[in-house]
Amino acid sequence: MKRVHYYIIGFVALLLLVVGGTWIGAYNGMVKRENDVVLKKGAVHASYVGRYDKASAMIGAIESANAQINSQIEAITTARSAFSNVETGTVTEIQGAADAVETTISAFVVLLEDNPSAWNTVGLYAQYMAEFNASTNSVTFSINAYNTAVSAFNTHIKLFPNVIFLGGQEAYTNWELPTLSTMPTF
Amino acid sequence: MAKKKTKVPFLSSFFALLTIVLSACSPKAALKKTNAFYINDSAGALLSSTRYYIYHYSKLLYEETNENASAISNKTNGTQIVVATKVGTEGVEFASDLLNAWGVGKNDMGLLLVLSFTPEGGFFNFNHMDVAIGDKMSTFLTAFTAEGLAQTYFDDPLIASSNYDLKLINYYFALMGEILDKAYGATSFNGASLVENYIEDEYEYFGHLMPSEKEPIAWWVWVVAILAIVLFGSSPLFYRLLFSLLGGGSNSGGGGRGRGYTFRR
Repeated sequence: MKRVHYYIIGFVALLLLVVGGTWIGAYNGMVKRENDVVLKKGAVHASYVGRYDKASAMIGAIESANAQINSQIEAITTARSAFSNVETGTVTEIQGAADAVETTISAFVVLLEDNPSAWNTVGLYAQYMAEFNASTNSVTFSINAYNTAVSAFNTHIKLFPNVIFLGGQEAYTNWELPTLSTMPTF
Repeated sequence: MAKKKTKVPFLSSFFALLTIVLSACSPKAALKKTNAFYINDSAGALLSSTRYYIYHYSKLLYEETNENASAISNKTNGTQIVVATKVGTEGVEFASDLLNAWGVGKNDMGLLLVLSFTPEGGFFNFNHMDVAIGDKMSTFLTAFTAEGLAQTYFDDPLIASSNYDLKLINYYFALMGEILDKAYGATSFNGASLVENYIEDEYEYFGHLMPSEKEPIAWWVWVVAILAIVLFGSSPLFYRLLFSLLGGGSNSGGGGRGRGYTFRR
């Protein structure tokens, strides 16, 4: 075999090595980025799940506060009704009925003082908004992370020379950030 | 040979100097975690007692919850509550990014409070507080509950509106109690008594009991330092510079992550 043949074989081997290396690099890079996209997609889903789970818990807390308020109102109503029925009773009976009303009213005041956040509508509104904002931020955070991963993938498959080896790969579409009109309501 | 010996102190000094210069030139995040980790009063707005209470009880909380057997099996061990202050008006995502950058909480059981202030005439005006909740922590402490606690404890009408230190401590222990109750079933925690202790200590100085709030040393500084010790460790000057650089506590984040579950109030 002539020396020139060795040069040719060497050149072809080198060319194959470079092309093969580039191909492997492009393919592995694509797989890595695609996995990241899939992972981030899962994170977006998890953020939505978290948002809805917490919404259920929040509604449960509001209903619990409502139930407590209703039970207190019922106790006061019953005591007031008992008081109006003892108008013709003895002083002791009237005092006893009055004490019952006072006790229920005082109990309500104590509950209000001990749990101001759960017992006033302004507090509940602020809590609702905190939950709404936090879960919205969480969804936005996950969508932004997903879009960053999508951008990295799409750029990778379009870059030269990756485009030669990965030309058939489809680009991912960005996740549109929900607008207020499409934002889920609780 | 004599000539070679004279080079050793010079080279070790050069390495130490290089370490210092490179350390100073390293890229800085908006807010770097400190050796104290659990407290970063970058605004300089908090009292010494506030910083110490947060540092001490957050460290204790982490140690206690990290060794909790049932929490280990449930992978909810290692709760960390971190408080930071800053001057500036960054968006709410600042706190989310910080929680992730610092890795607050093991097993994503982290909670970060970032208080923003505006300095004015030697005083600090409180702007807002961002509450960033770690991913797993959010299953035990929702924004709804955290806001409710803030209304009761941070906005406590019995505390003077200008006393942000006491408001913060009151809220901090309420959050701790809620987490201990919901995540670990520990109902015996008495935050109110700790707040009473704090009120007695509020204007005491605790700086000597805390690690430095300086930034910790970067990993590569350690590499250069060890390399320099191996090669030129005989120089007394080098050791003096090295020990002035190193030091501080072993506090650090548990590698926790959040998913942007953050609200501002």
